[in-house]
Amino acid sequence: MLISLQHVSAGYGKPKTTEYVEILNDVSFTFPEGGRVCIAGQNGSGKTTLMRVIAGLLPYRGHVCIGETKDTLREISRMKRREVAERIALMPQFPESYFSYTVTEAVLLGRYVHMKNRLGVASQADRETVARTLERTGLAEIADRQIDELSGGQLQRVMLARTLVQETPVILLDEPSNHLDMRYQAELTEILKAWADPDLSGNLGKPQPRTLISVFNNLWQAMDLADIAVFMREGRILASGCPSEIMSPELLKDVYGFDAASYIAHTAEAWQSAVDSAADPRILSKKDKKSST
Amino acid sequence: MKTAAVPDKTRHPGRRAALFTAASFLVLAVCILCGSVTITPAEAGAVLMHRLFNAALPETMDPMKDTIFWNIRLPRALTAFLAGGTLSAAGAVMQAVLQNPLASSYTLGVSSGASLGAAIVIVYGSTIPTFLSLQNFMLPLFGFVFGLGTVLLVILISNAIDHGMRNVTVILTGMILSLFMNGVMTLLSSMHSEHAQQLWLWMTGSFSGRGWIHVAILLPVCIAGTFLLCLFSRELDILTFGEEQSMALGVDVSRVKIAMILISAFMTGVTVSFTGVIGFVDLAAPHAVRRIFGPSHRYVLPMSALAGGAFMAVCDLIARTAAAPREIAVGAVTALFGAPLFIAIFFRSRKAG
Repeated sequence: MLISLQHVSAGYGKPKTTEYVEILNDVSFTFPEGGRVCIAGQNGSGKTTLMRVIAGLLPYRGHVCIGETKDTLREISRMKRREVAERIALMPQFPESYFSYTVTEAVLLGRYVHMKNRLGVASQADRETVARTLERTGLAEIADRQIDELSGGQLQRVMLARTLVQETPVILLDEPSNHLDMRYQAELTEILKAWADPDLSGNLGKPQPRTLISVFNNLWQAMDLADIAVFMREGRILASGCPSEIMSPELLKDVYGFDAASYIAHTAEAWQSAVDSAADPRILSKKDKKSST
Repeated sequence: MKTAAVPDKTRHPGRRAALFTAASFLVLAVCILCGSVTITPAEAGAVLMHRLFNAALPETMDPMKDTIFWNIRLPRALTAFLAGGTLSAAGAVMQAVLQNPLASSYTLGVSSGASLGAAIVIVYGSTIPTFLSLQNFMLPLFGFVFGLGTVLLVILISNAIDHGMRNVTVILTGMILSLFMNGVMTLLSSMHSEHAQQLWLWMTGSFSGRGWIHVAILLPVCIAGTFLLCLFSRELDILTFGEEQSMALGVDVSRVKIAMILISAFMTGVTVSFTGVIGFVDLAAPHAVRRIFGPSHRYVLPMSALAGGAFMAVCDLIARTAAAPREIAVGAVTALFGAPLFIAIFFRSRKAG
């Protein structure tokens, strides 16, 4: 599935009034099929707006098209919601609900586009897909808990699972590692790598070329996952390409408005020296216990 | 983080639903039999046999009981049950569509609007051309149009005040419009004092004197309406997560929302035009049902209809017996139970978020 953006501008408020705030400014980019694209940039640089435009949730000027090949591209704004949802799943940044659905029920809603039964009964196949995905995202144990009782990280994983069960060739993730503890950040990267791998993807949904587009604030995670990095600044795409080729200190300085490369180097250094000097304090206490008995 | 045992709302939902249905109808049956004149189940059975199959009444039975049961008690209790059911199913839908457990036809002013529509028919009905003047059809029509008009007005105004349409804005706008409609009602009743008594009943709600014609109209509205809403139960589930997520999941949000608001305003409008404004049942019943069955609409909608029906039948029983031989307005009875519950839910939701 190709996604092509041509001269796309978008914003919030009524167009052509003083209320209007333009966020995206003449963005052109083609997301290749099967790409693992990570989008990074300052807060307010238009990352979320870009995701919303691709998902067809925000009016735009210019062209946002999706299709199997270059010749079958269709404008997102002309497609039915169902058609878009069969191709693109979006994991929202701020999940919220005022109703106490269980984890399983909430994830099952991701199967909506595949469901035929109007009276709301889920098929066995839908239930199995959900169960498999809950297992993979580490939610099986809390499958019957209510979502309004979950921690931020757990809720984030529920949203990830709901996005995955939609079984679309494209997924958009808006800061999926928000609230996740370190273990699940690592787990998330693994899940997404496996999802995007056409050979492995059989374990979550039907095998097909997968396109992953994700916003990350954590550059380490972005570098680990991405084969294409896109850097945004002030509503424009500043640079894009293979992370190892483009992530120069100069570019990062431009993207973030400060010496980001030095900061990363500094934190890495602090990390290394801590690792070098630290010893596990629990070993001592264990010995104490042994000697006392 | 809470570690308390999770109430198991997912196990045996079918069995629970069957039990719940049986309990609701049992409550209805008790409400039919109880009253200023108590009717035994045997007597009720005899009357039913007499009326439906032309069987002779037992000679020992007071023929007054036949009249009371068949012409007064039965249609009245059934009207109450159907009204409560229709209001509650519609209320559950309002709550999902507005993503707000506190929304209801009552808090949104639909009920007040519909009752104003009904009041206009009562006061000016005689000047409406004769081919339209069948009150039994004009009332629900006006109730529907005014109820729908009010909810659209609420959405329009709260959208103008606050683009995000936050819960508090919507509810406050609904409450204010509702007060305004009541003001117009009061004005109407002081201008047309010959109708004041009747209008007063409409403002507080009553099932007094409701007959088989009301059952005949409310029965299809309640059943068909609830069934139609049930067809959208999955969309309603998704809508509780907000418009944007619903769109991303593939729901045609604006179409579904319009359909849901139209159907529920129709159900509320028709009901209120026969019974007057009866608040809180549409808030209390869905809330109680969610506690038992969880928030999935394929259970919430039909079970709310049953719970609301049973609740309303009980409230009507209280309304006609507590101060007998005088009647209490049934709206006052539902408010006595409903208002404390409303406050409890509001505090709970404010604490949670």
